Amino acid sequence: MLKDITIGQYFPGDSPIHRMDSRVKIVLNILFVVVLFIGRNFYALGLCAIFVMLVYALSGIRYSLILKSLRPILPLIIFTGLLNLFFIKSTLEDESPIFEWYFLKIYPEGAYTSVFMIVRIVSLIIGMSLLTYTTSPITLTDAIEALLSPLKKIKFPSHELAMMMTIALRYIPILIEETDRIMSAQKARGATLDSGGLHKRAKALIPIMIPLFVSAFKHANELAMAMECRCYTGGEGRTRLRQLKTSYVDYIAILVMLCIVGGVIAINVMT
Amino acid sequence: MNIIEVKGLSFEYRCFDAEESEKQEKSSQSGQPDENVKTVPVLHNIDLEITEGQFVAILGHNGSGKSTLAKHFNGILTPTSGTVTVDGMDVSDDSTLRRLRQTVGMVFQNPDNQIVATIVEEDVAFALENLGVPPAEIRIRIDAALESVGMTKFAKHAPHQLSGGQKQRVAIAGIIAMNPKCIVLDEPTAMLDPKGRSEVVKTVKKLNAQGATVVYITHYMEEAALAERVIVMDNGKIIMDGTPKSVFREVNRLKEIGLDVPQVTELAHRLRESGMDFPDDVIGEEECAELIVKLMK
Repeated sequence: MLKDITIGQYFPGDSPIHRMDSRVKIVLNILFVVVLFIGRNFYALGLCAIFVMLVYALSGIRYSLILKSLRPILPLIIFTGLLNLFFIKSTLEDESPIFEWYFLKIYPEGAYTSVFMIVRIVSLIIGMSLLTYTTSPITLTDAIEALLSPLKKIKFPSHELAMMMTIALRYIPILIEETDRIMSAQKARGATLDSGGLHKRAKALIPIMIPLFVSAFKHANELAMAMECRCYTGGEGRTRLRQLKTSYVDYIAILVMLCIVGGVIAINVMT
Repeated sequence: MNIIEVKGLSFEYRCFDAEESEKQEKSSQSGQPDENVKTVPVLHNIDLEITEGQFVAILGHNGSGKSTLAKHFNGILTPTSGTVTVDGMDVSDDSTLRRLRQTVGMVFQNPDNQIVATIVEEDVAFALENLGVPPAEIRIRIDAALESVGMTKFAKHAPHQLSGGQKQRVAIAGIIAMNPKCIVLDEPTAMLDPKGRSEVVKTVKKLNAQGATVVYITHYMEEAALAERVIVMDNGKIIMDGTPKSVFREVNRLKEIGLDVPQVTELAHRLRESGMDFPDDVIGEEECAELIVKLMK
């Protein structure tokens, strides 16, 4: 059951979005988030929302996955929505609430902000998940390394960071398998893992976590030795098999994104 | 020509004794730090020469020092005393370490702990990336390496989707991509099922036939029987060294140090003991079968 976890949620494909350079994708994604927060009204936000949906359609990823990616943050969306709905008071003194029940009062402004915030968060999540849906974890790591490499000048360990991410990705399935095995072993010795109160269950995890940690350290030790045997000495002087390349798709994407940025700023200024 | 020369090699592990140091700290504040370090001798005065192109198997039970010896061949460990020279390089010399590691590739027991990348071909490329080989050449060399271990089909797979034997072959490909002159395998089949074992053994034999020197550490007698030379270690010393036939002939001596002999050798040995006219250097199954047929006639 633990094996079903997929990390990075990558869906292979051959759409223009998939073919984009992952560095460009990350930068444009950040830009998109910024634009989402610059947009001050529904027109600007609408433009962003429509844009992200179009990109989604272009990527060929199933729409049902939007719901899946939203599920984990559903509580946050509801919470934000409700807070804004009930706690934003009208700026006009004499305006009456459109809904009143004991102490709960809803003003038109509250309703407006509430919907506005929800659309903003949903667009944000869709945009972000598009990045992980269409980019394999390994190219994502490469892109992060490439983007952070200017920071090497101030001694930021960008290569080491990327290497750590790669190894983490590599070891997730191994450690999951191991957890499964340890759990079975402890169950075979009479450990009860899925009953009792929260406190009891948390305690039951100790005999699983400790062997897992021990074996993780063992793995790390052996892996380090194997890496040394293969002449690993850090990022310096390394070449890469996979080269990141920008193509015309990326230039078009950059152009489109700049239009969206321009559009949002224009709408902000005009209204 | 000798590729590996070991002269008077001794090695001891140094481990910090926490209990002792606590006692010392309580009794006197100014204890010499060295007094708290216990030394555990592992290898005693080993002399060994391995010729280029040889297929050498090293046998020994757990703790006999066989892995420790192998780790000297590419400088993971360095001798406490004595010298280990590989292809003219002293393994204690840091300035040639990179070239040494390229000359002697090392494959370990657990394939999962040797595969670094999340895609097979990327992992095979790892050593070459470290060595700064240009991307176009990396491509050619990893394709050749995957081809020679028979894993070309799986180049784009994730390692965790592969079987143990396949993973170990990927690990071997990652080593041979460096074009090492010598490959040291430290119990590469210990964690594999019989199918995976035979895959790995076949691959190793093939590499040896192509000219690579192979040092193969194992505790499977059947695998050792395939080598041209068998070295038996016990308590940090080499106690036997010779062709598989001459080593396995000494069934009783091997049993004394807790090792088995291949099943066919055992059979031959028992037949001889029961007074039958049977040679004492049988190690191949077919060879043995033929001899039995002859005996029955």
